[in-house]
Amino acid sequence: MSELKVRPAPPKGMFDGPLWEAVDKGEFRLQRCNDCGFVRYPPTGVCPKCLSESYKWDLMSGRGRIMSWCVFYRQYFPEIPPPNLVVLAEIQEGPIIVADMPGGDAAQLKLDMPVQLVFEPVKWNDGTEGKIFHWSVAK
Amino acid sequence: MAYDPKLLKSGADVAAIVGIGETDFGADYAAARARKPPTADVFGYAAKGLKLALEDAGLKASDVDGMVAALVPWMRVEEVLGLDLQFSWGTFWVHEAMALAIEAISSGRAECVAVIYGNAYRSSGRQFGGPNAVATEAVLHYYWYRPWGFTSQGAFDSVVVQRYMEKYGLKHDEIGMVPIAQRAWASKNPRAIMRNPITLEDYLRSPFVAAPLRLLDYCLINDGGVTLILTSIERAKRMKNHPVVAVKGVGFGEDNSDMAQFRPKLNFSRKQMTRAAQEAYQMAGVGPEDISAFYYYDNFSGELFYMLENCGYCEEGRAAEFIRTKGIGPGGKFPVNTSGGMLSEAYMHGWNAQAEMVRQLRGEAGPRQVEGARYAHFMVNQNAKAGSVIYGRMS
Repeated sequence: MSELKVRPAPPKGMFDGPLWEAVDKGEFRLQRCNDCGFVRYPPTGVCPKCLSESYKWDLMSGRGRIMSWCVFYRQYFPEIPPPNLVVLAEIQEGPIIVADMPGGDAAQLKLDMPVQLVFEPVKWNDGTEGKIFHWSVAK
Repeated sequence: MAYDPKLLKSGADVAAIVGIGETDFGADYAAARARKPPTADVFGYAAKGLKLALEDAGLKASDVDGMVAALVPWMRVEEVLGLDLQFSWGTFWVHEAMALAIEAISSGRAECVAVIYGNAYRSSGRQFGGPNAVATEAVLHYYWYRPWGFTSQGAFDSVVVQRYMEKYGLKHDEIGMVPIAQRAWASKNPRAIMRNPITLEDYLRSPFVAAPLRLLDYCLINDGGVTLILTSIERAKRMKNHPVVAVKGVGFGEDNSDMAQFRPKLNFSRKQMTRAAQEAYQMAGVGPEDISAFYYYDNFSGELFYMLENCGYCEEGRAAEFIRTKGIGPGGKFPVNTSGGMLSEAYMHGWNAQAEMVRQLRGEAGPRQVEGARYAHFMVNQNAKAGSVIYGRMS
């Protein structure tokens, strides 16, 4: 049994709990507006398209296409050694999701390349345990 | 939404910049690197800049009846500097400060407005990435992506530059043209912090911080102060210290849709920058072809490429070719950040660029002087906001 990776704990605002509870179950759920259907991220109390405060935590496909990436060579977090490849991809439901791509090779990436979200157990640096999501090149 | 150029134009040629003052960036930086204690706090840097600007204008502190504080904490700064004001406001942005100064002067609320900028980021140890980076709800994305290590404005720009490279074929050595040219300008500027010329080899040896951006693509972090003194055009014409430099154009641009997902940035901030540039051009009654020197908020070098396109200096995807053929360094046909900018002169959030624009338009830029400089254009683009100002020499 290998030890869990430690990662900086996610900021948890008033609307963020259900996102991380779903991630802990291996599901990617975002707020979909009950009035206009718009999917927003990061979580907020209000739909930016219609100002509705009514929403549901809808299951996302977790599939996206690459919009860009960068590779950290400088170490900013003690828990995250460089090089750290971070990918920005737009999921089918609309939002752009930022996550790292462990083991990925930046030289192999292209714009619009299909990627999928994967989940991994982690220990957060506040001592709690849960799951984190990463990007992975789609099989 | 459409706007009326006639209404915009009523703000042009209202205010003139009659005084500029800047602290000695190089000396303060050298002292900081030598681990000497800072010579001032943020208010002290503001005071030094103000004194120099008053001296440059031939005015006294008691002549100042309006203030726009930039970055230096508003309210407290007026107390520390002993200013007796009728009008005061706090901001960060150059274009906002200029719009406020024009408002104060055109309405008669104030006759002489000091725009006072002070910055002690280096001595206060401000962090731009990592666990202790700036975290405020106004910019959720500065800390939301911590679990994946995606913090720091440099990284946020690096993904835009990577996308630009993929889309338009920009090469690493072409990015290098920008810091190399700005360093060449800085080598002619005694106030600049980084004055040793750099070559393409130096650039390509510079380590990546967040690839594709390298250390030499990142701005400096230093302490200092810059003050600009503004008054009415009529009063400026009666003052004989310097040629009159007028605020000709101010532009605002916004694109807040999915800002925290970086959507506007990944679209090369085209909507917000185009709007800000066009507003400023229309207010000033000039176009890109009239600009003698261009200035930008160069926290990272890569932004210049899509910024030039968004301002109409060249077509989409053609900025590298434009920079290469025109030349942006000394002797070039399209001078950019002629004091060295934030990459090589000082990290003064674009305020050092304002002082340099005034010097160029007065014809007081010494070895860096752009021959016959008539109009200077400044652009800033951060997160969901773009701003633009154009200054011109009164004939």
